[in-house]
Amino acid sequence: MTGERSAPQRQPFEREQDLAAALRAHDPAAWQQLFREQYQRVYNYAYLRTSNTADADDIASNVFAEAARGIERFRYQGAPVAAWIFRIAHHETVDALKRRKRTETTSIHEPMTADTLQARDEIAPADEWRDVAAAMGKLKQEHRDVLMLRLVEGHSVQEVAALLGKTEGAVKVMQMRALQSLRGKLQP
Amino acid sequence: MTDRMDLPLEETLDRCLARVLAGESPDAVLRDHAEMDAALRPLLTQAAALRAVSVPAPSTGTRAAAMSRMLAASRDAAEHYQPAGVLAWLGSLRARPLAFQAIAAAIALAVLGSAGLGASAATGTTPEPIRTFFRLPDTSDSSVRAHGTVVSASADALVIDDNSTQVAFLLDANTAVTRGGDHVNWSDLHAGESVDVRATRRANGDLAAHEVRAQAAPAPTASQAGASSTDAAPPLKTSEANRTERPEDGHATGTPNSADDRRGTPDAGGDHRGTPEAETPKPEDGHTAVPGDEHEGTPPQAEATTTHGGPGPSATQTPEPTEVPETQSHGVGEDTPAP
Repeated sequence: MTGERSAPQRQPFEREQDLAAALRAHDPAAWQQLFREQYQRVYNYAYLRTSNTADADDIASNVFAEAARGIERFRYQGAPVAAWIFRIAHHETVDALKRRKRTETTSIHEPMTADTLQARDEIAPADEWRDVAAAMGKLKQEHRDVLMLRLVEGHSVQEVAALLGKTEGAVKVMQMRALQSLRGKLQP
Repeated sequence: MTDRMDLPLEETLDRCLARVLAGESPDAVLRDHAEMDAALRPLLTQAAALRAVSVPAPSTGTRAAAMSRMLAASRDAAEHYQPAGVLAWLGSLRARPLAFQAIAAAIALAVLGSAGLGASAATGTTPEPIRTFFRLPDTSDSSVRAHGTVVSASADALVIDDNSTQVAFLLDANTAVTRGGDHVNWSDLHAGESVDVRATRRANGDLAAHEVRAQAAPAPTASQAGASSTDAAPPLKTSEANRTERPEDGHATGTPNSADDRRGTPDAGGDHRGTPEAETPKPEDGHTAVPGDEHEGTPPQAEATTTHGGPGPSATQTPEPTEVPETQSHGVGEDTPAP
């Protein structure tokens, strides 16, 4: 059960500015293309941040709906549309984590039923990922993002630089430091 | 460790990561970078572990629902999006040629209308098209001619039936009532008698008759009104196309009027005072006044011109018509030029 990681081939809108213009014009074909290209990445990002498939579903859905509602605010200035989507995904994920924190705080007084425990088990990530996710949760935001985008999502350094608004050199430095920091968090 | 010191390592690490991400094992990659094994191995091992993390794929239904939601949001945003600014709005009109043309036409009308208003300012009149379009009250009198059958007559008002529409005219001392060229009294008019009325439409809409011409043949009495229509002279055919812009007999001082200004008809914007509700007859377009329009050549009969003292009550107080016969329908319209 592995999510898609390879970047899909660019379809009708080959140039980024053409895609951006078509998205602003609410061209359904453009939106479908964006969805096909970015949905899995957004989902993966949300899942790796939340370790929860239900949250990842909600976040991914919210990201694209929010993008459709706010496309008039997007101005193409060289950065790919995916970078804008990624920023929305980041904000949606942060909001989801805040909501979860509030929910967990309030639900501490609720009786834990067998159904609740079973449901939590079903959405719990694998053990291998649970430790890594916990360690990544302690990383700086930019380190966490660069590791997810570069290593989990499989983006190139150039793509990560565009998504994060950094230079390629800065991304290379960030990914090295992020790996060093993660290793330090995982070591007993 | 400074950035400068990291630079070589990070470049090397990036090349190694690219190979790991391509599927090579860390050991295979590190064999080519033995001199940096100590620094690279823990990082590449960690990267490989991250790469191996399995991410569950969302269900097809979840994915389809997300796409549907996105497309719905896009449609909704497209419907409700209002670009800011007048220029953006005007720019959007380029995609709507019809709307653009309509606005251009409105602007042109406004400009021309302003020019017309400016030109009319010198004469103190409102241009007729503008007055008609906005149904502005006419500030000047104009000549009106009507033909119909008498419904009722009194010293101060004459009601005729014009094509099933009753029209009231004011009578006063200056109103000349003639039959066959001879002056008669208003009391000589009979219900059902065919008459030709020339009047002046006042600024307030009242129709002040200055001449009432009855046919030369003796008109039936009110009790004989039923047969009057058959005895009536050929009706005057009036036409909107024959409306004159010339004042006639010194009574009409107004400007030409449009078809909507057919005073005395129910749709004349309140000008059908004293007339009952009735469907407005459509003018017979293109009709021209027949030679008998002016009743010229009709043998004169007894003169019985009667004058009345002072203007009577307004035509809005039209007396109840009595013995209204079936009448021929005739037109009511602006006067035609006298031959």
